[in-house]
Amino acid sequence: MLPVYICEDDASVLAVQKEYLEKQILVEGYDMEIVLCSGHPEKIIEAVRKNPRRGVYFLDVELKGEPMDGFALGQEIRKLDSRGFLVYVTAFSDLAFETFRYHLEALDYIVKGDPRRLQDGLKHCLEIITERVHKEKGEEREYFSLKVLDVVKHVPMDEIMFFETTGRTHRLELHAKNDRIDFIGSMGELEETLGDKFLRIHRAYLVNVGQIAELDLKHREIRMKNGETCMFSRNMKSKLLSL
Amino acid sequence: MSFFEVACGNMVSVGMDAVFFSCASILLFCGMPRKGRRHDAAIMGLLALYVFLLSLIGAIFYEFGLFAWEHNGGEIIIEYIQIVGILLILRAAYGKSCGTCLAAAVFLELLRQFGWYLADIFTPNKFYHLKILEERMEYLFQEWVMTPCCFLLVLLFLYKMKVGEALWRWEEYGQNKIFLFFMSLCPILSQIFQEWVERSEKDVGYNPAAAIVFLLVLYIIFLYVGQKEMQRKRIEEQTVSLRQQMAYIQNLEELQKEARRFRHDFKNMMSGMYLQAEEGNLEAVQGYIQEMTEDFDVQVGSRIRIMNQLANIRVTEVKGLFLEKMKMMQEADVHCELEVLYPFEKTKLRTTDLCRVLGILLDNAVEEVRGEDGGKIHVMISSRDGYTTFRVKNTLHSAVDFHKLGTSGYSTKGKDRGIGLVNYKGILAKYDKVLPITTIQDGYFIQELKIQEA
Repeated sequence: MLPVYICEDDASVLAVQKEYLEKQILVEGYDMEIVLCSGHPEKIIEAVRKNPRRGVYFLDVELKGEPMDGFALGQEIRKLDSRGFLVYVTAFSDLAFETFRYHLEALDYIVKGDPRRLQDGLKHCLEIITERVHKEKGEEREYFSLKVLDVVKHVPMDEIMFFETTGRTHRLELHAKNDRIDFIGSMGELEETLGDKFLRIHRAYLVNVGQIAELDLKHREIRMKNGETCMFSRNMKSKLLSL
Repeated sequence: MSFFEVACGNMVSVGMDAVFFSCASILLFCGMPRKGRRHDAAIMGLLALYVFLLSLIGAIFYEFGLFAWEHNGGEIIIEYIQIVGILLILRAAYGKSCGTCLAAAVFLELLRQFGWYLADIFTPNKFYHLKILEERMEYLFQEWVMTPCCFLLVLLFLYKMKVGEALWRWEEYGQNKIFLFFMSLCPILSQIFQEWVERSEKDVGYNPAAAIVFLLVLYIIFLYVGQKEMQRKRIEEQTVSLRQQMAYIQNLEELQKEARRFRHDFKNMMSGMYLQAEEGNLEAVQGYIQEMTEDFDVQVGSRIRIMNQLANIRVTEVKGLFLEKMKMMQEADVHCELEVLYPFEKTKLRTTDLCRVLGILLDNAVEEVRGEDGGKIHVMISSRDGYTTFRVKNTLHSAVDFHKLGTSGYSTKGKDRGIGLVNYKGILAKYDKVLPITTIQDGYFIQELKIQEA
């Protein structure tokens, strides 16, 4: 059961949202329940803190007379519920939504001016959420999470090719199928956390064993499945050959 | 001493100098030149060649009595050879412009002298009889303990002064020709100065004060150049704000045109709506209203939106860059959106570097999207809680060989392109806690640049 929270300072809009969501949950038989509707962000945070579960949040962006806006509220919620679904409701169609999505991993946004559009938006969001939850149940893909300054990136384990040291100290570079990420960390720690699926074949390289395509013994190089190459040190040769 | 002995002795001390130069230049240029093993080997080779040649020349000079020339002629020539040598090595190692390398070389040479003088202060007894054991020991101590210690002291001083940043700033000002000229005359000028100061003690041949005064004069020039730079910056700010105002005006004019067009449509629509209303067709009327609001939003709203976002960029040069690129995109008929939710006021990246970096990212995005159906660019600038993120996202229309990305000469657009991303990495390499990220996701190519400000 996913708890649904609504934070909206306009009582009439709040009523419309609540009524429609209730109806929709009932009609479609979604596994959700509206637990709190409020115009005060603190109340929402308090409720989430008391009962931290993955939830669905419909948040007004512009909260008049409140100490925090929708963005700040989203940040607080994220601290408590990292996997919840954030949907923003706004009066303006020019919301800087990419920024919201980037920092808060917000799901979508809905423009509330026209009641029909609002309802369509709500309906669409509920559909997406159920679809996502459903998909996640089937999927057992392992992800590698890494912190890059103020955001966390998730890269599928089986897409990672290797980690490489860069010219600067404590700076590493992740090479994946669709990502190239510079971050701050240490090879030693990575080696420990990643376990035996990864092999330190060189001072500068930590390689995903499952992604090795071929060995080039003559040049002491490894070719990965995506075509990138890395060197390996002499004493790793026998270990690599035994793989 | 035989020629061979002199050459060997020289080689040892020049070798020590070379080590000092290497360390100091690493501090000066903020980091080692890292371009692979072959490059490293080449630099080491050059250094060895430098040490060898200089000690040989020194020995020849000594043999032929050139050091006994009037006004220290021999020494000055040697200094020049040294400066040219360092210049060439620096240029080969770091690939900076000749001007920068010259300035750095003279600066390093001054520092080297300074280090020697420093050592001299601690051991005033200058002439040693090497045959007497005690004096020999003292000499060896001075040569092998004192001097390296003084060099270390100078290096520490350089490190504390963050001399690398000073050089940066200097590079940014655009090199001043007079300054360079003055610097290149340094050995001669210091000789003149010295003779002028101490006419009675010509046999000493050098004076620590000369180097100090020289550094002082350089500092003054530095300040002067800094002021000029401020002026230049102010002028630039004014030009950018002028350009911005022009862009605003242009936008307003277009808005007006849009409004006029809308007014025309509006009349037509109204009469259509009137007819529908008369017939009591409520649905059609609703449709009309929706169409109208959407139309207005798209036509007029998008212009206002972009201007609002631009207003949040508070770094003049960056704003100027965006104005320019936006104009370029408009001309190329590329759809672009900009998101700056919170004011972007400053970043630790040098502004010129930031503009170059953003320019590369934007140009790449335009290059990819230009002329494609449904091509779109989205730019986000977010600065919050001490972190700044720049994100350029564009639709992907050609297959990118992801792993070759960023290697010299690779581009989806064919030959002789793709230098951009190599430069991009190069510019960022000298910064700490500035992290580039590249991602391909859902048909978009995303370049991110994350900066930790504190």
